[in-house]
Amino acid sequence: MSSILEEIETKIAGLKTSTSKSNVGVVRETGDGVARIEGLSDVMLNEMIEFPNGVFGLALNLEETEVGAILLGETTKVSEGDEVKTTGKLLQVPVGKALLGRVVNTIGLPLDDKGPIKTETFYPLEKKSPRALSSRRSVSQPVQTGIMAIDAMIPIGRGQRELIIGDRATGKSDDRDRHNHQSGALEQGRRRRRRQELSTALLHLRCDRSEEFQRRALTRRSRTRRRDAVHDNHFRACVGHSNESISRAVCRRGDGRVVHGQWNGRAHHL
Amino acid sequence: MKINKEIRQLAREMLRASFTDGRLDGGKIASLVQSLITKRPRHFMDVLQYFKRLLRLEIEKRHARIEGATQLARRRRSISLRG
Repeated sequence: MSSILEEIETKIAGLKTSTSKSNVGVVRETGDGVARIEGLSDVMLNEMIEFPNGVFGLALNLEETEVGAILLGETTKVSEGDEVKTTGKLLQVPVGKALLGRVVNTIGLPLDDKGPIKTETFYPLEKKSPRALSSRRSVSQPVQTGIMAIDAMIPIGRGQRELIIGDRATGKSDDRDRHNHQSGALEQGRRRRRRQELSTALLHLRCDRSEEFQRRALTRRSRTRRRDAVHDNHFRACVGHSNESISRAVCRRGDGRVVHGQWNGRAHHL
Repeated sequence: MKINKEIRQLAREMLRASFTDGRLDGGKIASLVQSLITKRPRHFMDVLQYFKRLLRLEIEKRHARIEGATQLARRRRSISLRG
């Protein structure tokens, strides 16, 4: 019996225990492609984190008690209570000759069942912009649009980008053109002239509807159908052409909405 | 490191599973130890150590040591060697 004890002692002596540290958290809730994770205490911003079933995520929202991550992959495979590990890597994709001829998804994972991509080179997805962009001067010169509301509340700088949101026909394009110095006196005059021409064209169209249009509609109904409608963007391209081309480019629906585009079969149902 | 209650419980269960007809079974013990090493549960090294201790005590419990100032008779010596 003492031989058994010796055998156990030999086995214990032969065992090697290795310890490895891994940062692990638990999915608290998931939905809309976002997972909220508890317990990830040592995660970096923009770090790739690994979910079960080979799904990866990107830690974007680091809060005191939880981490918000967007899921990069099959979101249905991640559920509450799943264990999450950090990878220690920022969002990156494999690059190199091993990538040639392979089919990969957006984060570089293979989709072609040819095994993992054996490369040691990775390239970050989020990195500094090229020199041509980063060497641009910063915005330092104000631009007066001439619209008091804009200049007072949201002053605009030369070279900056600005989001303009608004309802239709509220003058968004006018403001934009003015800001882009495209709308001087010449441009305004051009636009006014176009509007006048548009009114003339509309008059022609309405006149046509009464007799000419009715006749054409009856004779060539399947091929040509007219609608009196207009949109200023398309009108620019259409001014100088026949009324026919205007009606082809733009259609107004019965409810007042303007649908623009080339004449096609869909317009029959407008 | 202090051996906790769970480790002691697991080691005792292993010891109970090591008997066949009231006697320690070498084959069973070997398979138990092997499965523990394969599965590597938490604190398995401590479990093994404690299991070894329990086995040693069990073996000692089932052995009698006979000491004499004079030479033992051949029959008694053979009994003691046989265990």
